[in-house]
Amino acid sequence: MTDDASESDLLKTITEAISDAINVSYGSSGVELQIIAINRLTDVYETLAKAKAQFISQQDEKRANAAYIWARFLCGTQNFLRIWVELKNDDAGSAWLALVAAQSEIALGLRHAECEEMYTLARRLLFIEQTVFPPQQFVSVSHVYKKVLCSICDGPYGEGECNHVEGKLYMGQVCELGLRELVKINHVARVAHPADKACRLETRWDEVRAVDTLTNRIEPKPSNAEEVANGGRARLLRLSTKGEMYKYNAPESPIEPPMK
Amino acid sequence: MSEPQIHSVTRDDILSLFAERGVDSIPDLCVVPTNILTVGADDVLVYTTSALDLKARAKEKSLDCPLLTANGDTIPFIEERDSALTLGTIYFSAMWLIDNPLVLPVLANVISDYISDRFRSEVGAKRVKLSLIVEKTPKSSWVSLSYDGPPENCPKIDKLVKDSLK
Repeated sequence: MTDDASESDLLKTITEAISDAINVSYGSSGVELQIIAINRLTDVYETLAKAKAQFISQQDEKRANAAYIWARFLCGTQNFLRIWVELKNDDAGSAWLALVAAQSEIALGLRHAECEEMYTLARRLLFIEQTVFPPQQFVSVSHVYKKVLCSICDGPYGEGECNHVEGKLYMGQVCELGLRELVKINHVARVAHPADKACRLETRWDEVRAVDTLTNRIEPKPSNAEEVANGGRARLLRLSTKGEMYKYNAPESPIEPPMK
Repeated sequence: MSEPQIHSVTRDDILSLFAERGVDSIPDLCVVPTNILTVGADDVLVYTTSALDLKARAKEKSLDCPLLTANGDTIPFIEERDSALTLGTIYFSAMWLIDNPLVLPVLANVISDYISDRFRSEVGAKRVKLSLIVEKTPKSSWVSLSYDGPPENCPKIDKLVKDSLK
């Protein structure tokens, strides 16, 4: 993409793909239409990634940063649709991870750009979290590290030559902190408002049975005594904030309704 | 909107507290370890990573707001796993406040910009924890101030500091 016309075409492609996806972003929307929209968002994301690489090679920071923001919105919108697809596929765990990814990606985009449509999606995601899923217990693992590195220059963050600020955009890349040289694990705790909602108690166990915290289904009896004593099995790993796009197999035609 | 809940405690033990933890050189303006006022004898001093953010953002405005070392070593960093923003504890010497009346509002803006950047995209629960240590009388009297609440109620630090000196 080298001129204004093709840039305008790309912007149109992005906004149309997002707009069409939002049109089928409801629980009642046809799953085959949601899958088509998801796959289209991935195609657009890939086109945008190529354009972004070109902006970076041209040292066009303004456009490279805009491409980063649009990529977050494409990824967030796709994960919004995936919530419903995974729920319809009876995979509540993946639906929850899609919810968390959608919230994270849209929030990352909104840190750098005002966009009313995305604020609306963010508010809908919070509502979905509170009404479609049961209340979750979150788990926080606190680590102590010796060094903090900057993802832009790989140097010690805020020291010497590093003039970058966490969360800000530099040539299409967001400055993130890399924690290095683990000193100790400080604590593991249950928290109400975690930094990462992917870290949650997935199964709660009592003396006789294990229950999935999303589906309420009974799971096989736990074998790990420590986990039983802790009251359940938790996901402790942090979800990466790097965008990950998905493609589903082409959907089949909707099932014909039964004859009356 | 409810009034911000500010906790203010006058102390005379800050220098000895720092010395006990191996910190014997305190710049006039700095970020001190997040748990300096609460750390137990067997625990280690730590910074939250937002202390580094404060330092980096101050540096953008040509303000030097360093982090401390203890016994010559870098003080480690604790990864924040809660959605709350726990800002580092900022230390102001009496001399710095006398010499830099025009710089204090700049630092206040650095902090308020940081808070608003951090929560701009949040639609859920929002919480800020902020603390300051202000030297009232050189080497003899300090006041520690803390705020824990929603970002929209978080007071500007220049006003907090000035009020604490009255």
